[in-house]
Parts: sequence; C-alpha cells; structure tokens
Amino acid sequence: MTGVHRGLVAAAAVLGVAALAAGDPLPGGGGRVGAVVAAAGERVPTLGAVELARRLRDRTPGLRVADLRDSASFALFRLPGSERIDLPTLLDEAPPAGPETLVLVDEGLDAAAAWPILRAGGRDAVVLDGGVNAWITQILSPVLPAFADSALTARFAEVSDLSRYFGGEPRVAEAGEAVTTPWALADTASLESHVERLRARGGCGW
Amino acid sequence: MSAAWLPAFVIGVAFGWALERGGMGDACKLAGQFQLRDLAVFKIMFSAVLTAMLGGFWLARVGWIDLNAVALPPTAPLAQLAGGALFGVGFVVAGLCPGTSCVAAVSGRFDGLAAVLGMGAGVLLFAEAWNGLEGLYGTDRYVTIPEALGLPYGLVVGLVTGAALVAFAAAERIEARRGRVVQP
Amino acid sequence: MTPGASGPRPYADPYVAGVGLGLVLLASFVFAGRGLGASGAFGRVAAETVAAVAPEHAAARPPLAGYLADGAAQNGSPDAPSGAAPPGAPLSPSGWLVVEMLGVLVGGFASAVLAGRFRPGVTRGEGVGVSSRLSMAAAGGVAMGVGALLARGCTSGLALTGGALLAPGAWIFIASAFGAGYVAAPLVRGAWR
Repeated sequence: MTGVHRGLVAAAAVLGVAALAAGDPLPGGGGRVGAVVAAAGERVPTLGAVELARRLRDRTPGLRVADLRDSASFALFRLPGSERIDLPTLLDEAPPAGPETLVLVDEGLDAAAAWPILRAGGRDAVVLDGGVNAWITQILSPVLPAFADSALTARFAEVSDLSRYFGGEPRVAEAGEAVTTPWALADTASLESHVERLRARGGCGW
Repeated sequence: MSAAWLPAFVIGVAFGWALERGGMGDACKLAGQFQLRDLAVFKIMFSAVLTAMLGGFWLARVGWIDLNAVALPPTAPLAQLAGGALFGVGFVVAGLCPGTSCVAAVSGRFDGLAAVLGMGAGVLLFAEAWNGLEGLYGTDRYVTIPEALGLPYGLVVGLVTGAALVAFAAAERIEARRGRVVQP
Repeated sequence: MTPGASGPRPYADPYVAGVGLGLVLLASFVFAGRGLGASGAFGRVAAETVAAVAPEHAAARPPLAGYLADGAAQNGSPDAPSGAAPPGAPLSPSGWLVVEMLGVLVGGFASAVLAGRFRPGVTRGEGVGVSSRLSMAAAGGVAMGVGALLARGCTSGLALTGGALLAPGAWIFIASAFGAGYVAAPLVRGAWR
C-alpha cells in the first residue's frame, strides 16, 4: 500500500464513518425542516416558499402568516403581511382545524417544534419549509443554473414573476457557479411529493 | 458550439480521459477482471462510485447542492436483473462495455470499433423484439435504497463505504494469490 | 519523451484513476444535474440513423420512437430534429449523452496519444485469431446493446451513476452483470491465453 492509497483509504473512512451519523442530505438545499422532522420521526406538513408567495400574491382567503421569531428579528426583516406571535400565545391564536391556514415562519427549527403542540391542541397549521431564509433565497434572490433544462427554465419564469412582485431580484448563474434550486421544489404543500415529482421527471435519456 | 453543448462536451472529454488513463479501453483489462488476474476494473468502478457517492452526499449535507435535483436512474428489478445478466455475458465476451468500447475505438483498437457497431445492432434488435420484451421491461420506479429501506441516507453511505473498503482489501489479496498480470 | 522510443506508458494506478473518474461523475451531478452515460447515446444515434433511412419503421418501434421524441419533446432543443432552437436552449437527455460521448471520443483519443498508447490493431489473447476476436467483440456488443436497453442503462449510466446515487436498480444491475460475467468467463478463458 503506497502513501497515496493510505491517504485515499483514510479520506474514504473518515467521510464514510462521519456519514453514518450525518443523517440525510438537506432537502432543497436551504430547507432544514425536513431533516428535523426526519430526526423526530414525525411528519410536519410544510409549505414551500414559492407556493406561499403565490398564495400571498393571489390574496388567498383565510391565509395567515405567523412569525415565531423574536421581535428584533421581526423588526429587521418580515414577510409581507405577516404577524408576530409569541410561542406561548400560539395555541390561543391558532385557528381550529379548518380551511384557514396558519403558516408558521422562523429559521426552521422552532416552527417545526411548535407544530406538534398545535396539533395536540386540535389546531391546524403548516410550516414554511426553510423558514425566513427560504423566503430570502427562493423569492427575493432566486438563481437559475447556467445550464438548465426547459422545464426548470419555465418554472424559473413563474418564480421570477413572483420574485419581482415581492421586490426580489431573480438572476441567472454564471457558468460554473454551483447553485441550488430549492424554488423548483416548492410548488406543492408536501415535501414528499416534491421529491416524487422530481424523481418522476427523472429521465436520464436511456 | 452553443452554451448548452459545452458542459456536456467538457464532462465527456474528462470522462474519456479518465477511462483511458485507467486502462478501461483495453479489453485485456476486463478479461483479467473476469479471469481474476487483474482486478483494476473493479477497483476503478468502485472507487469512482465511492468518490461520487461520498462527494454528492457531503455536498448535499452542507447544502451546496440539491441531491433531489440530480436525475436518479430508475429501478425496474426484473428488467435490470435480466438485462444485467445479458449485459454481463456481452461484457465478458467483448471485453469492453459501451463507454470503454468507444475509448478502445479511438485508441486505434478495431475490436473496440466492432463492439461499437455490435452495440448499435443490439439497439435495433431490442427495438425489433420490443413486442416480446415489453412485459419484461416493466415500469420505472424512482426510489433510493435509503428510502426503500427507511434508513437515514448517511447510514447507507457509511455502510457502502465500509463494504467497499473491505472489498478493496479482498481484491488486493486475490491479486496477490493469483499473480497479478500487469498490463502495460 | 517520445512514445515510440520508450513504448506505451503504464496505466494510472486504478484507485487514483477511479477517484478521478468519480470526480468527473460528481462534477456532472453538480454542473449538469445528472450523471454520466453511454448506452443512451448509442440508442439515440441508432434511432436517428433508422429514422433517416426509414422514418415509418422507426416511428413504429416504441424504443426508437422514444429516443426520437426525446429531442422533439424538449421544445426547441438544439438537438431536436427540427433543429430550430434558440441560442442557449438546453439539450434533451439523450442529446446530452450524444454530446458527452463525442467528448469521450476526443478525451480518450487525446489521452491515448499523449501516453503513447495509440496503436492501430486488435487487442486479443494468443488463443484467438483476429477475425474471431472481432466477431466476439461484435457479438458481445449486440448482447450489451439489448441488455443495456432492457436494464435502462449500462456500466456508465446505470452502474456508476445509479451506484453513487444509491438507486436500487443500479446495484441489482451490477450484481447481475458481474454474476453473469463470472459464470460466462470460463467459456471464453481460452481466448485470453
């Protein structure tokens, strides 16, 4: 075994052993809710940032956006039409299960943790997948990869319209720039179905 | 050349280069693999799988890429069992596979060219036999091993890594016992 | 160094070559959102060839028609038969593979020449003549062509790409192909003496 072989084996062993405990890759790059939920073994219903943007723009009746972050963060940046609700008063504020949708917003962790409490109280809510960061990356600054297929390009056109509506700046990546396209995942309410839809599109051209 | 062609072409050049550097365009290498004299084909294939698997997992884990946006090859167990068996026989008879036969052909090897032409004929044969094969072909399913088994992705990555390292050690032992034939 | 004087250079260490190949595959994941492939390019080229000679024949064969529709469906793809594509339009999946395989031809050729390994001739063992070896290569190619289309990919597109993405079908294919290869190996052992 040469020195090069020892180095390769060591690198593979370190990355492999670390992977044992690393769980799952992050869904949609910026979205951390899925990972948290997978760890807890329970599925929280999520709403993608793009779908939330569409519902906000279309003024969907019964939509309320609840921001669970502290007031300083809320003052610094807030989603259009959102209201800040403290975690302790959430149960009183949340609508009973029904057509009204309460969207929980934060960096991802607290909202996912709050959801089981709400559901135990018989209330209905969904969590914004990826929290405020998802809104910033997907709606305010979505990026189209330099080499995108036509489906992705078409999807990006829709997202760009939404982005401009909310004052964002969509752009196309430089050649060779590594980008993620979480906005392409976010057009239905369930994270699982995003993945299935993508996979069904799959098609390696064999 | 338009912008859409360039990345595909550059990746192809690098792919062809890597295959040739490893000797994968040499039918003797593959023959040595199946006669258990020179296991370079196995070592190259599995270190490539290991590298891309670990790289893809960790890039996705730190959020730099979205693994769900990478086109996943479909699963159709019966068709892949049968197709794999037929492919394996062709593999050992030709001493080349579709990618490496192209490398062999551009290295001046006429057996590579013969395999390339044979492959084209095989595609046409498949098309003619479609009515009989349609049932076996089945339908595509897009799923990963972690999803199918309900295990964390990283756990499967770690287990595959461990299995590959054990297999590499075994390959070295087999070569040492059988007498490695080093191809120039 | 002059290749003629020193002879062909030895191949790279297999593990180093494998890691290099893996990094190419990883780059494909990152920059193209897909893995490598080979058999799909054969499928597309064969389908286009039949379509050029006998369009109705190709259209009546679902596997060939599938490859032809692939370019056309990618509305305005540069590799579509109509060819009228806006600049910068994306390639269809099989069109991507055809371009990638053109790159493989260039990269493989350049590597072979630079390493002094470009030698016109037939690679064969001592136990088999030139015409037998070419027949074996062609027959093996036919079997691989049918097998790859049935399995939805070959060593590159299914085994490497699917193996790295943990697709169950890729691992089924790898086990089946290597298993069948080892069963068939004794039958052709004489050819490689």
